[in-house]
Amino acid sequence: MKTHRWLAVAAALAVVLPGCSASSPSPSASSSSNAPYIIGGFASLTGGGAALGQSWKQAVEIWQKTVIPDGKINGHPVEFLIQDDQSNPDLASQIVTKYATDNKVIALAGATFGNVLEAIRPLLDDRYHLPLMRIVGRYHDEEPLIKWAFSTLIDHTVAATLMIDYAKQQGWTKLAVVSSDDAFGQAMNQIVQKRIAAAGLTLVDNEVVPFTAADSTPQMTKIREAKPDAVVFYAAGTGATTAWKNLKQIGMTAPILLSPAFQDKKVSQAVGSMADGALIITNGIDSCPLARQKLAFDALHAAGVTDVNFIHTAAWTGLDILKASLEKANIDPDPLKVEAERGRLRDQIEKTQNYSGVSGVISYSPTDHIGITPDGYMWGVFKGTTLTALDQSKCGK
Amino acid sequence: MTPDFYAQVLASGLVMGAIYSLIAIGYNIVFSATSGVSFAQGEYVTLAGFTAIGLVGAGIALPLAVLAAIAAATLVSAIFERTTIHPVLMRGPVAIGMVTIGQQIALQTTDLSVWGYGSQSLDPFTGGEPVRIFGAVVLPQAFWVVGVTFLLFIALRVFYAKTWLGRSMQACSEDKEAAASLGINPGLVVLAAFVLSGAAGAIAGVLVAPIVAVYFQSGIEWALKGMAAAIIGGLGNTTGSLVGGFSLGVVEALSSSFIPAGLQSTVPLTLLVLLLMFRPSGLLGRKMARL
Repeated sequence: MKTHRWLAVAAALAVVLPGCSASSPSPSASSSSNAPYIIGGFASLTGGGAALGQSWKQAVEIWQKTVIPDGKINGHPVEFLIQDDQSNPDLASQIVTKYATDNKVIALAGATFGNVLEAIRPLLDDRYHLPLMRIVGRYHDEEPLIKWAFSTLIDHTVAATLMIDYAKQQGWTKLAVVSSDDAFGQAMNQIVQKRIAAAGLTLVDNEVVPFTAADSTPQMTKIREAKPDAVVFYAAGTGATTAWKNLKQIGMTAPILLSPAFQDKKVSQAVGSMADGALIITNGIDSCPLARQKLAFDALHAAGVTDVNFIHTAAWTGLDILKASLEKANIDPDPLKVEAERGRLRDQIEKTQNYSGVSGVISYSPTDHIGITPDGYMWGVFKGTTLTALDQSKCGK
Repeated sequence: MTPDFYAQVLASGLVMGAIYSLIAIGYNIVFSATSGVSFAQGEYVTLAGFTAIGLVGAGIALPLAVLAAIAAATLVSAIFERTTIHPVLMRGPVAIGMVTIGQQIALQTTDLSVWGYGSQSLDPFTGGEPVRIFGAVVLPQAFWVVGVTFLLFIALRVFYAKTWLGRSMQACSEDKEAAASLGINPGLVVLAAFVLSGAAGAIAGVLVAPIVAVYFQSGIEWALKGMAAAIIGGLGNTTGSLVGGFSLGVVEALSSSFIPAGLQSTVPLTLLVLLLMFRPSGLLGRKMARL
């Protein structure tokens, strides 16, 4: 009987003791060196903005293989989660919430469109305090600071200024503007109008085309009748591509200045031979990588990307800065500490100064999370459907 | 605005109107045979456009690629009819409509996975400089679009009037039970309807691909415009398809010059609402009661 009692006590101890040890500091928590950095990525991978989102995804995947071939930062494995927000703000909010609470991500990357960024902004700044390397460029002159989001993309407000300055330098005094009817297009329409007025130039026609217009010939005919010296396209969507094509189809010969969203080989191929001669403002041209872009461009080309664009460069730079910040601040990915560490990571990203990235030279400050300096921009010109640098002397430097 | 402007707007409206007419013809053929609506109609436009672009990209000559694309889209329509429409034929127009929504999703998803997210374009059928007509610059492709639309319309009229199958389809559209009692096979008529409607959509697709960029979601836009054209002209009436398509095209072109972009998509709907209020059967229709 005594033997049975001892056996029972031994069995009970065998059951209870592991439980006791689990309630003490866990092996996984104490050895946080094995814990992964979980990064939550999301973009518009389907839908009208899929071209941008797919470019972002390509860049993320190739960046991981190129920059962290062992899959580690600071000795910690990196888990990169990718979700499709379908340009849907509600869906994006759900994804961010899940990343913040269930997946315990250390940072976010992505967000393709302004409506998505607006929707998740309270989640980042007020609720979860989660740093984001965003790929939405600034398209409001007075965009309020998003404390937890950092841009590496073209600043559209600066790009618009450069476009109008270029027109003025060329002596083109009468300009027509084409924009799309989405929030981005409308905001940029206002900014371009302001820049034209500020430069003392004349706006002879202003056309807004539907985001998915199948035919914009009537509106482009109005532009042709207005006889502008040049036409400025600051727009997005398939409707903008159609408008560009329609304008050339009706025999418009005035120079065309395009915004960065037109930097997609499929867009120029859809316009066909009529793309020839159009100028585009961007921060990276496939056939003309600068010295600071070479590693990324070579890797993208080797992976089969034949048309590196401003989203590829922005995504790459964002991840480079994120990696550098994780390393410099020696961020601990322990899930129990992740919320505090997110704050330290944000502060480290904000300290980034004169970072020579693929998309430009980036400097952040407590009042500026856009960061990209104007010298990161360059002009491209379409030769047929192929984009080349207007100033070839910059290539490789 | 100068006369040149209005000439250009009219030319643009006629070209887009021709495409809407072809899609509307497809709706009408299916409606006549089944009393239902095929929500996948716009997808045949996209499918044929993409197929032609893909074949040309693979080195096949343009005329052959265009014909093969039409044949392929038509075949897909026939296969869908046999595998998904035929089994639910007796369940009525609602079931048919629901099945075609499934077809629409399947075709769009296939387009996305095969051809990707970007927009693409086909080479024009014939080269040459644009022609000036009353001040409007008209592309050679525009003549193909309008010309083929009228040819197809005439061919369809002859088919309905002169062939056994065409007359059988006419009979079924009048009274299915009576037609069946005369030995007409309703299953064969419905198959023929889906073959013809798929072909009409496919022809629209290859005609418009050199003018308008093709992307995987463009079928929805075409479907909505084509359906609006069919209802405006009068569901079940082939001539009405032509009238509805061209009316919609011209009104839309005019309105896009004067109405803000955000409201332009309301034009077809506004036309529809007005028409349904004052002439529910459409401009030339007589069958709305069967809807």
